Amino acid sequence: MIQAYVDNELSTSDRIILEEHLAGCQTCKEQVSRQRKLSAELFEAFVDLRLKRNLRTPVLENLPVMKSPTADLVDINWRAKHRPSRMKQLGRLAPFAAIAVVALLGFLIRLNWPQPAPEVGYVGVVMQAKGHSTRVPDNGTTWRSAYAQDRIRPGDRFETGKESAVMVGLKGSTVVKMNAESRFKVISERRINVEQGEVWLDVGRDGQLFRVGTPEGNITVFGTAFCVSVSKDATTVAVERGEVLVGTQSDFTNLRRGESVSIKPDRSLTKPRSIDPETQSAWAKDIQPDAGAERAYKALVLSQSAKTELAAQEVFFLDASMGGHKWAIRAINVYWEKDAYTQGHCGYDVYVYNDQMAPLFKDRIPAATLDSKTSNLVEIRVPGEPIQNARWLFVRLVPDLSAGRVEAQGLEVRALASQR
Amino acid sequence: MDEAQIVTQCQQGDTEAFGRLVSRYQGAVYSTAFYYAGRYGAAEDIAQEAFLAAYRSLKQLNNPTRFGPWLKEITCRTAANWLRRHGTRLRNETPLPFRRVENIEDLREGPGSRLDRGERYERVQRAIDTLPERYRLPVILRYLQELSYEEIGNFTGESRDEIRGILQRAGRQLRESLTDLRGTGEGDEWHRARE
Repeated sequence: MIQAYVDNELSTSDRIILEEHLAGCQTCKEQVSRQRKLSAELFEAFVDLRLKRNLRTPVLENLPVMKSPTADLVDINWRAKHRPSRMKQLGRLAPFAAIAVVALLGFLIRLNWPQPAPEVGYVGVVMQAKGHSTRVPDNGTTWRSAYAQDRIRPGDRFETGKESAVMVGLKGSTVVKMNAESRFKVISERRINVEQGEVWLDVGRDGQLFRVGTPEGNITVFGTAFCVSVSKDATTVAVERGEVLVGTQSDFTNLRRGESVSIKPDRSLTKPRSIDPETQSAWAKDIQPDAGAERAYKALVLSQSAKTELAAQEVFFLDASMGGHKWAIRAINVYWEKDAYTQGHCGYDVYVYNDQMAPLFKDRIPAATLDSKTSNLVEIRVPGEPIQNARWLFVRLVPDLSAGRVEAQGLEVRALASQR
Repeated sequence: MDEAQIVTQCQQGDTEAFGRLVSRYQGAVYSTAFYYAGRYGAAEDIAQEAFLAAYRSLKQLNNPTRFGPWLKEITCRTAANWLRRHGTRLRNETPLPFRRVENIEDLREGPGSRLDRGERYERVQRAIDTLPERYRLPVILRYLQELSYEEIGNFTGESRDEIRGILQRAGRQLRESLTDLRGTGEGDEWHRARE
């Protein structure tokens, strides 16, 4: 009763009786006082945790929309009386069927939509053709006249007669200009073979190396403008700007701006000599692109160049002094990460220079070696005498993408040497 | 208006009537939610969720005069679900009074008083935990939201006299277990907490 009194929950009569009793009973009075303290204590403990806002509004705002039960009954009764026929049940699926049909139609239309630029497989555009210039498509034997805006496929061959010229744009922003009485073949957008005559190239840098094949040797290019002329006596390369690596089976050298080298019929290289790059390629200045062809070329380059893969040379420095001792280097080991799952690796051309950047020797790692599932290194022997007195060596690995397009991962180069 | 009438109106889709029920029962629902999970600050969310759950299943309530106990059941179930959903996360959480941000007013009270308050709350909570299961919810309903005996009874489904008896016995037990808490302040003035 005392608790109820403290909580103000007694009925009026009970309260009057109790209060009368309390006036005379000290024990009960103390009890009331203690109970009151306890209540205060409890209220005080919880005061911070009370509900702080009215929940009416948030609850009503979030109420789900409901049908009233009367409507429900009407609905149920109606449905009991009018059982839906099978056709009507199917009819309920009509909206979904319509959506499915529209989606299917859209898909079919999308599949058959005419492609705006079905220029797949083209690697370039003929940008100018002057005089009597002809071209023969891959595997064909009939020569046809070349016209500006002709599309070029890999394997196309071009030839110019007297007082003629052809200008070709290849993907990767390479421009090839061809002097009179020349012939070259497009192998891919990053490789051409010059068979005869004089060709001027401006190679775009897109991460891939550009290669020019000649009857005597290969020319590897790192983004540059240069001139190649092939005659019966010799193949001459003259560099207008940038850097060009000229190599035959046995010999190689690096050319810089204003240098020229000839490959002799015995495939040895002459010493690089200075030239005037302006006069060397004066003829090429006269060949300018046809306006329409230039537009077509730009469209082609922009639409497809993003798909080209990246292939770049790897350059290594070998410390040949190794701990201050004198060493005689007998071989170079090239390592890579073994990859048992990928086929179609590219081969590598290995060029070795000494510390004066003078070429020492070159070799090849065939693609088949890199495709091997078991080995992860190849030893390249130094031809002839071991290399001595070199402080360091400079090794350049240039991928050859003719066999495959997958580059080796984790390439590493070490020297094998013995102490003198 | 009679409560059963309000409930019937709700069952016919009258949201305003439901709003009246929310106003009437929010203290009780909130306290119940607090009893289960309130120490983690989730009581308000659970209370809202419980009201929505009640609204959704309102048509299943056959006896409109038993709305309170029915709502209590739903609140308990909602709280239990909530605890099951969040149980793993809560195991590492500090209960509410200890993670309150100390604001300027708290600082003015002095560093000791805040600690006392947290401590006091903990002891009260422990004392309530020692009560018989059946006493605990009425005690929380009474002292958290200051509900009257009638309101408590309406919600738990017990009669007013039963509630009176429960609170009488619970009060005696709490007084015993909290004796030392009262300490020396025998003659101090005690004020009831105001809202």
